[in-house]
Amino acid sequence: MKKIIISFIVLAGLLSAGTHAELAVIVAPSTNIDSINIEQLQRLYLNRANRFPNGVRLLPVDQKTGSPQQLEFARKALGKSATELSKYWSRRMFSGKGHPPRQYKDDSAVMQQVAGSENLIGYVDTASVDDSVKIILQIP
Amino acid sequence: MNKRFYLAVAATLLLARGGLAFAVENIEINGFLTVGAARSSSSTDSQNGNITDSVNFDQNTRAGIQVSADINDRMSVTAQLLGTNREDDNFDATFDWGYISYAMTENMDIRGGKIKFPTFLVSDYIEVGYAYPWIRPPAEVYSSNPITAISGADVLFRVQLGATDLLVQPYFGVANDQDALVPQEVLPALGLNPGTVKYENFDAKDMAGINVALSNSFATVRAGYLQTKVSASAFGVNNEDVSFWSVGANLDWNNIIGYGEYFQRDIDGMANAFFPNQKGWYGTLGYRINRFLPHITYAQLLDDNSNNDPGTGLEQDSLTLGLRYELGAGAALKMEAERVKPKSGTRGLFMEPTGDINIYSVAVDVIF
Repeated sequence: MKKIIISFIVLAGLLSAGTHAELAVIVAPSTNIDSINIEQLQRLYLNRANRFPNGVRLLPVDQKTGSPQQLEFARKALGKSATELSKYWSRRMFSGKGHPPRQYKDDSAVMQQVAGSENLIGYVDTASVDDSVKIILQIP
Repeated sequence: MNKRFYLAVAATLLLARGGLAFAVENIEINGFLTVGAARSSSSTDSQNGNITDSVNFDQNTRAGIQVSADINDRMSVTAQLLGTNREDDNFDATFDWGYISYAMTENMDIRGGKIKFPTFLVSDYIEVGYAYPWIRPPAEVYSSNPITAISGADVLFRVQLGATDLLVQPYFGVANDQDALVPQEVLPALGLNPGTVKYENFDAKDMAGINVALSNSFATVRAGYLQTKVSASAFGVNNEDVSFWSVGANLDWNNIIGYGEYFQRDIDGMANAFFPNQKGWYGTLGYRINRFLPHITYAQLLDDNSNNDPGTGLEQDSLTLGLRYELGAGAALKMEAERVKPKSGTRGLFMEPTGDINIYSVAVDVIF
């Protein structure tokens, strides 16, 4: 019995390691920002700021709820599970204090949005990144 | 300065008109729903008649729709419709609150219209059960302010202090035609029998208050003060002074959830017969285990009247054990068992003096 449980844990570890891709935080090449830290990223994505410290206005762009990228980003960058994030937004939203970021269906849709505006920030699987966007942070 | 302000307002109104005429961008529609039931172990009903010894869905069932739209870069409109059981037992939808918000600067918004009354930690979203751990926020504290929204204006002034955000929110306004539950002790003067649930209109004018909150990624600490003058012409209550202050904090740190709040209200003259001077507090602790959040709450309501005050103080304390279970993102199932102990000889928040009462509640909260 113990062996079975251990092999399940190992298997689960392997499976989850397999789906955990590295995320890249991206902006348009012309956006006047070259790097961002996790705290600044959290402030933008949790609607506690809408400007980067140097004054550049940045609107966050999200991936679809429940997508691997979104779950990964919520956990690693925002430190919240999907349900915690959903409770957080219910409090902000229904008190009229802001909305969750707009969602796009996949990496290429996010990149297309971000590449087209100096005022957007997004995140995608690092493997999807091409030179239409600029990486300002990698989240392993 | 004044001239510039008026010009800005005039320009914005023109822009807003233009915006509305062509297209309103970024309309967001969100909703929430709570279906719940409660049952008490006693034949003595709660003073609002909502919790009795038969299973009752009324008080715990409500639905809301919120619509918000950006009119332009600086202006937005937000409004909420709420469907709930009013005192006449009909399910009504009402315009609960709605306002126009104008961003004066990056860190300052001015809002005008009907705004949610920021009395306590969860007052801004008190109808949205999904947003907090309990089925009903502790009555010993939350029942102390019957006004949930005011007509007026407020300013949201935000300051970033390192990783902490400071919010300073002064507000001004009135709340007319509010429903006040007539205390059981006052019923005979109206020729009504004890045990009747009776609401009367009252007006709160010259309301001015301030809400200050400090928050970071895992905690919020807030304090608020408010003063107003209440009138109820049917009872000869005329411009009596009310002051109300409250402090509170909440924590969401490493799976530990905590809430704690305290309030004190002082009400002069004849208005005191309807709203006696009271103070109260509660503390909630919970620990999140995956999808489960077991929590415990102790709450106390205390009389703060002096001998000359006409009102009757109501005192009780309660202990609540609750469990919240996440049904995926956006839905939760909650169960609670509450033991309420009205102070010996007083009726607490019930119809008449009674021994300890158990209340069992279950609810499902959804947002969409």
